[in-house]
Amino acid sequence: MEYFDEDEVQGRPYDRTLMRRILGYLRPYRGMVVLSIVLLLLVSVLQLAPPYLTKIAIDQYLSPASSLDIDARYFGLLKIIGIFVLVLLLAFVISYCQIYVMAFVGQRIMFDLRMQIFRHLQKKEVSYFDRNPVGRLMTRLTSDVEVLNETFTSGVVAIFLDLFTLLGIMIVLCYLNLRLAIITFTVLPFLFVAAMIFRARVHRTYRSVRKRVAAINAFLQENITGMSVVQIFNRETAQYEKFSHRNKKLYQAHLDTVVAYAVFYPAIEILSAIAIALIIWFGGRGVLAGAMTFGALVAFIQYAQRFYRPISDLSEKYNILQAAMASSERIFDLLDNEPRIQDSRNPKKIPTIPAEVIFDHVSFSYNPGEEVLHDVSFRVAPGEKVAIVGYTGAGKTTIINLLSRFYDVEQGRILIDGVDIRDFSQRDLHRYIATVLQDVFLFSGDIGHNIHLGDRAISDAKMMEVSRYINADKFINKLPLRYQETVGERGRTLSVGERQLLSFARALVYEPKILVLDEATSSVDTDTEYLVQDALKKFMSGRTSIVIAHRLSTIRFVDRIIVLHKGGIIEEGTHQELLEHGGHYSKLYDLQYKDQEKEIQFRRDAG
Amino acid sequence: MSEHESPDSKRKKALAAVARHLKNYKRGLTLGGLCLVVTNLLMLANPWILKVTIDGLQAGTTSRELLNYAIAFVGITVASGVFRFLMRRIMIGISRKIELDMRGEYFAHLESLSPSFYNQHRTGDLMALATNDLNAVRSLVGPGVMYSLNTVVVSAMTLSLMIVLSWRLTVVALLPMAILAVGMYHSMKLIHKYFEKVQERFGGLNSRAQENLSGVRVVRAYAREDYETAEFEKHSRIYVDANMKLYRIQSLLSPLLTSVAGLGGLFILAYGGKQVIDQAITLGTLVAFIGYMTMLVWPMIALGWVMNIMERGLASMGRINAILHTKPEIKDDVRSDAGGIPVTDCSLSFENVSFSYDASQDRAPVLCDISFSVRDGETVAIVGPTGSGKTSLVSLILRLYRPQTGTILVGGVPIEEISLSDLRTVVGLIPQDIFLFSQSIAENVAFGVPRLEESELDRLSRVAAIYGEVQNFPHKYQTVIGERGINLSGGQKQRIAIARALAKKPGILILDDALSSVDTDTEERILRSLRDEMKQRTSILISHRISTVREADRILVLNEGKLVEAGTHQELIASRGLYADMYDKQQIMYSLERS
Ligand SMILES: Nc1ncnc2c1ncn2[C@@H]1O[C@H](COP(=O)(O)OP(=O)(O)OP(=O)(O)O)[C@@H](O)[C@H]1O
Ligand SMILES: Nc1ncnc2c1ncn2[C@@H]1O[C@H](COP(=O)(O)OP(=O)(O)OP(=O)(O)O)[C@@H](O)[C@H]1O
Ligand SMILES: [Mg+2]
Ligand SMILES: [Mg+2]
Repeated sequence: MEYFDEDEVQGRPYDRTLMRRILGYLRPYRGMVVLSIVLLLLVSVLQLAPPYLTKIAIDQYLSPASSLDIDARYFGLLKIIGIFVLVLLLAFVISYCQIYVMAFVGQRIMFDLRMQIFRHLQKKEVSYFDRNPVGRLMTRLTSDVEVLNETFTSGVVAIFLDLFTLLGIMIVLCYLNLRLAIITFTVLPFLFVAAMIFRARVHRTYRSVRKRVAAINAFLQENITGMSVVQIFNRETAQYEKFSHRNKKLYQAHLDTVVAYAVFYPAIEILSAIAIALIIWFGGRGVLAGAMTFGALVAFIQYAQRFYRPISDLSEKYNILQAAMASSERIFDLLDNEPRIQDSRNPKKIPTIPAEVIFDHVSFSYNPGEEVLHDVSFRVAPGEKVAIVGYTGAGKTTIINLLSRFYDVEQGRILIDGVDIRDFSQRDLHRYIATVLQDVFLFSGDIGHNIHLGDRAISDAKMMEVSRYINADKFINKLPLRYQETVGERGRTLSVGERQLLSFARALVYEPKILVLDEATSSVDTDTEYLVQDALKKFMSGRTSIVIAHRLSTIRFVDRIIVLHKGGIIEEGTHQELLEHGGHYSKLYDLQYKDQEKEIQFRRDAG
Repeated sequence: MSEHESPDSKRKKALAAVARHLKNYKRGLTLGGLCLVVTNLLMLANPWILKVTIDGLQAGTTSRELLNYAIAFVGITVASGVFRFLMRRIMIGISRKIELDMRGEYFAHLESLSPSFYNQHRTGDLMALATNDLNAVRSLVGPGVMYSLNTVVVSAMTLSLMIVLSWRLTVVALLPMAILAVGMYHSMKLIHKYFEKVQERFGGLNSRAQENLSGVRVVRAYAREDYETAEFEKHSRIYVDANMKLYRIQSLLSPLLTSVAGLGGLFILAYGGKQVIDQAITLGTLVAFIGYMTMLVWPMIALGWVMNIMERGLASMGRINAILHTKPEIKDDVRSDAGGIPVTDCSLSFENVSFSYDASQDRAPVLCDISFSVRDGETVAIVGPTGSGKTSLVSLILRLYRPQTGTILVGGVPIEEISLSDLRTVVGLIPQDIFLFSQSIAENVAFGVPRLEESELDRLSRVAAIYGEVQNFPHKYQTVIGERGINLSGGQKQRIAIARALAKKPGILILDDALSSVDTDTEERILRSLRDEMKQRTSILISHRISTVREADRILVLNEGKLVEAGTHQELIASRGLYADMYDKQQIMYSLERS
C-alpha cells in the first residue's frame, strides 16, 4: 500500500473545458489582450507592405518599360524608400509593444494563478500535507505554473492571427477556383486526424513528464533535507541509484515526447506537399485542357503554399497548448480539491477570556478503521493546568491535533466555553490556543522572526522579556547579531535544545488564552527547565494550560493529571490521588524515581 | 559560491561545461548535423520543381510529366521528412540525454557536500537548479544547438547563392548586420544578467514555498496564513518584476531582427534600384536578389531566438557550476581499497580538539581543547547544558565537520586516514534530530545495510521496543511512513531511528538524546536491552536525564564547549561540581513531588 496519494489527476477534465478555464485567466486583462490582437493585426499588415512597396518600385520606377525620366525615377525610388523606412520603424515599435504587452499579461496571469494556488494551500486541511510530499506541491506552485507562461506569451494571441490568415486564404482559394480549392482541402481531414493522434500521444507523455518531474522534485526535496542521514549511513550510492531510476524515467517520458514531435512536424509537411502535388496534377491538367488560365494556377499555388504556413504555426502553438494542458490539469485538480476542514458559514465569536475546554466522547482515527483515540472525555476548567501523560504512541499529540482542528473529530465533540470548536473560525481558534509542537519547526529567517513569526503587534521588548524569562537569551546574546542572527533551514544551525526554547518563546509572546505544550522541554537541560517552569508560573497565571511530558518533573506544577493509554483515558486526578491509587501513573512514577528512592534510602542508611 | 568571479570568466566556464557535455556525444551530433544539412538541401529542391513545373506548363507539357512532377514533389518532401525526423530524434534526444547526465552529476555532487554547505543553501534554491536551470541548459544543448546549426546552414546556402549573383549587392544587404552585431552584443549581455536574476528569484520563490509547506503546522497553529501569503506574494512580485525586466530586452529581439532583415531588403532596393536605373545591373538580377533576401528572413529571426536561448542557458549553467565547483569540505582523503586503514578496535580518543562552525567569526569556539579517550567496549555518557556542544562533538567523530585543531582517533588511527565509508560503517549514530525517509518501516530500519533478514528486523524492533506497535499497524513493517515520519508519534520515530542505527551493527554506537521522547517505562526497557547490545561495543550516550546516564562507565560533563568534569556517577557526585548540581536539582524536583 502506498501511504501517499497517487499523483494522478482524479477526473479526466475535457480538453475544451480545461482550455476555457485557462483562457478564463485572461479575463482581467481583456483590454490588454484586445490591444495586443489589434497591434498584431497592424504588424501583419505592415509586414505585407515591403513586398508591395518593392513591387511598386519595380513596376513604376525601375522597369525598363517605365516612361519616366531619370530624375523622376530617382525621386520615385527615394519616396518609396522613405515610406519603406517609416514602415520598418512602425513595425518595429508596434511589434515590440505587442510582444511586451503579451509578456506582461503572461506574467500577471502566472502571478495570479500562483497566488491562487498558494492561498488554496493555506486553507487545505493538515492531513492533505501528510499525504502529499512537499516537493510535489512545490512543483505545482512553481514549475507547473511556469509551463503556462508560454501559452500566454506566444500562444493564445498568435493563434487568432493564424486562424484569421487561414480563413482569409481559404476564401481567396475558393474565389480563385472552387474545384481546385475543394481538392486542396481534401487533405484537411487527414491533417485533423494526424493532429488528433498526435494530441492523444503527446497528452499522455506530457502527463507522465509532469508526474515524473514532481516525483524527482519530491525525491530531491527529501534527500536534500536529509542529506546528513544519507551520509552517516553511507547511503550515497544507494540513493544515487534511486535518483537515477527516477531520472531515467523522466528521460524516457521526455524521449517519448521527442519522438512524437519528430514524427509530427514532417507529417504535417508531407501532407501539405501532397496538397500541392494535387494542385499540380489537377490544376496542371486543367491548364492543359484549357479549363484554367496559367496565371490563375500560379497564383493558386502561391496561395496554397501560404495556406500551410499558418497550419504549421498552429501545430506549433498546439504543442505549447498540450504542454500547458498537462500542467493546468494538475493545477486545477489541486484547486478543485476543496479543503475538507472548513470554517462554518457564520462562525461564533471566540471567548476573550480563558474558558473551559471539554472533550466529549471523542473518537478519532487517522486512517479509517485504525482508531487512535477512543471515547475520550475530559474537562479542563478555566485557568486550570492539566497534564496528559502516557506511553509513547498513546495518542497525546493526537489530542492536541484535534484541539487545534488540524484534524476533525470523528465522533463526539470538543467544546470551548460550551461551543463546538467547529463553530469558531480556525483563525480565531488558533489565536486562542498557542501550541508548542513536539516537532519543532523553525524558519530560515532570523531569530526574532522565529519568535514573532512576522506579527508586528509583538514588540521587541516583549520578545526579549520572554526570552530572558525562559533563559533563551543566554544563547541568543552570545550570537554576534543576537536577534537578527539568521538560522539555517529548520533552525539547523542551532542546537536542538535552543530550537525548542525558541519555539517555546514563540508560544509565550503570543499570549494565548490556552497554552499547549507538547514535550516542549524534552531536550533542554535541568537548569533551563527549572527556569522555564518558573517563567510559566508567571506567564500562565489565570490561563489554561495543557502540558504533555514524559519527564514527570516537567509536570509537577499542574493541578490535575490525565493518564492516556492506548487511545483511552485510564486514570485522572491529582498527583497525590494517582499515587495513592497505585495504577499506571504510580508505576511510571516509581520507575522514574526508583533510583532516587534507592539513593535516598542509601544516604539515610549511611547517614 | 564564487560570486566574486567576473561575469566573463563565469560565462567562459559555463561555455566550457556545455562544450564538455556536448563532446560526449560528438558522433551523434555529427550524424544529426548531417541529417540537418541533407534536409535543407532537399528542401531547396521543392521550389525548383515548382519552377520547372510552371515553366513546363508555359511551354506546354504532357500530363504524364505533370504526374512525375507531382510525385517528385511529394517524394522529396517525404525524403526530407525522414531526415528531419532523424535530425530531431538524434539532436533533441541527445539534449535529453545530457539533461539526464547533468542531473545525475548534480545530485552526486550534492551527496558529496557536507553539512556546512547545507547550512548555507536553501533546499528550494538547490531544487530550482535541478529543474528550472537545468531546463534552460537543456534548451541550449537541444533546440539551441539544432536551430543555430540550421540557421548557419540555411544562411550559408542562401548567401552563397547571393554572392554568385552579385557580391556587391550581398555586401550592401549585409550592411545592417553590422549595426545588429553591436546591438546584439549588448542585449545578450543584458539578457544574461537579467536571466540570472530571474533564476535567482525563482530559487527564492521555490524556497519560500518549500518552507511554507514544510512548516504548515506552525503556520496553522499560529494563524500566520495571511502573513505567509503576503510574504509569498512579495516574492512572487519581485520574481515577476525580474521577468519583466528581462522581457524589456528580450522582446526587442524578434522585432529587431525582422527590421534588420527588412533593412537589408531596403538597402538592396535603394542601392540595386539606383544601379538598375543607371543600368549597371538588370532588373531580373535585382528581383532574384530580393527573392533570396526574403529567404534570409526566417534564419534571421531564428538567430534572435537562438541567441536568447544560448544566453539563458549559459546563465543557468553558470549558476549550476557555482554548486558543482564547490569543493566538498570533507573528502575521502584515502580510498578504502587503497590504503585506508581498516578499523579493528573500536576505541576512540580526542586529542586537544577545538572546533567552531565558522572559523572566521569571532565567536567563542563551540568546542575548546577537548581531550578524552574511550576504551574499546566502554560506555561513556556525555551530559551538559543546552548548547554546550554535545551534538557538535559527536558530529566530529563522523567527520560531518572538521575540527580546526586537534586529532580524533578511532582504533588508534586518525579519522582522516580512515576512509569515510569505513568510518561511517563503524560509527552508528542516532541523531538528536530524527529524520526518516518516506518509505516503509522495514526500508527505514534497513537503511544502512544492503539487506536485513526478517528475523533480524524482529530482533531489532524488540530491542528498540517498537515491536508491539509495529505489529499493531495494519501493514506491519510495510507501513509506509510519511515525509519525515509525519504519521508516527515522536517516540515511535526515535525508536525506529534506534533500530536503524543498530541494524548497521556499529562498533561505536552514539545515542544523541535518543530517548527524549519516550516514556520512562519504555526508556527503561530500551536501556535494558541496549545494555546487552552495548556490552559488545563502544558507546556514547548523551542525555539530560541523570537516570539515563548514571550507569555509564564514565560520565563526561561539557560546559560551554569545555570538558569540565569526568568520572563515574559516584565520583562526580562526590566532587560537587556541575554534575552534582544537576543531580541535586533533579533530586529537588523529586522531593518536591513527594511532599
Ligand atoms: N498523521 C498521522 N497519520 C496517521 N497516523 C498517525 C499520525 N500521527 C500519529 N499517528 C499514529 O497515531 C498514534 C498516536 O500518535 P500520537 O502522536 O498521538 O502519540 P503520542 O502519545 O503523542 O506519542 P509520543 O509520546 O511518542 O509523542 C501512533 O500510533 C501514530 O503512529
Ligand atoms: N550548524 C551550526 N552552525 C553554527 N552554529 C551551530 C551549528 N550547530 C550548532 N551550533 C551552535 O553550537 C553550539 C553547540 O551546539 P550543539 O548542538 O553541539 O549543542 P548540544 O550540546 O548538543 O545542545 P542540546 O542539548 O541542545 O542538544 C550552540 O551554541 C549552537 O548554537
Ligand atoms: Mg507526541
Ligand atoms: Mg544536541
